[in-house]
Amino acid sequence: MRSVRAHGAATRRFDLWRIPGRKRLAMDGHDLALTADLSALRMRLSLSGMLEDGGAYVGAVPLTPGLRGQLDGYREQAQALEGHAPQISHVRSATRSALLHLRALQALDASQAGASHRDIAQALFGLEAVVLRWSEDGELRAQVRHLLSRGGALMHGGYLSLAGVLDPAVKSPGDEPVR
Amino acid sequence: MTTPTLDDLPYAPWGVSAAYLYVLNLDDPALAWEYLRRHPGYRADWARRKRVVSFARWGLRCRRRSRVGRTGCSSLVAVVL
Repeated sequence: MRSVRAHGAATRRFDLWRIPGRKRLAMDGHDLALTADLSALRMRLSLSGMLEDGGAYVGAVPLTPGLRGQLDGYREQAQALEGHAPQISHVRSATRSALLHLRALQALDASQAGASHRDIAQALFGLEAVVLRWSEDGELRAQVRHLLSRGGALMHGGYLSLAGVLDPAVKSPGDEPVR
Repeated sequence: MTTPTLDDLPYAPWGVSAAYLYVLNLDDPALAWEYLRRHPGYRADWARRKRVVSFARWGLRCRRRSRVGRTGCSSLVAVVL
């Protein structure tokens, strides 16, 4: 975010306290790094040191291959800058996939610590579910396998597309021969 | 190396689901970081203190421009692209 000269009455004015949610400011060189938590949405903005409270502003976003997919998020951030909290429905749909990520990360940690599929199932779904429903080729084990393969794929390069960009030169980070 | 038993479950860090609740509040770039920091190769890079030269390998970039005469960037300001 940087300041601009005013182009008339329609220009938007920056007001830090209009942004909803919990805000944190940190120095970042000549700029200020602003983090605002709005339920499931975390906004990270770099504020130009020239930007004054009440001053006209423009926002800049990185030109990345994932730009199209990020547009909805940017629109929400632009609205948050104007004081509008994000829609609840969006938050609810994000929570479903967030729960998958939670389980995938927990399963990854367990697997890396040497836990068995059964132990992972118990940690994720509870002792009762394992006692009642566990079998070597059952549905619980299939869920554990699915979470591990999903988490593994995201760990081995999938995180790049998750971050909004996928550099074709970096297909599977860490898998290229070591020079 | 010990094999985890059922008795260990409540005490293993990965056995405490509540410790993962913060994941529900993360956005996609923050989730990307959660996966990257579990990559064995990335962790090995970090442990070998080669992180300054291996940013490109992991798709990381500098948050701040490096100072004149300095190549790479400080690990503290690196973010997932």
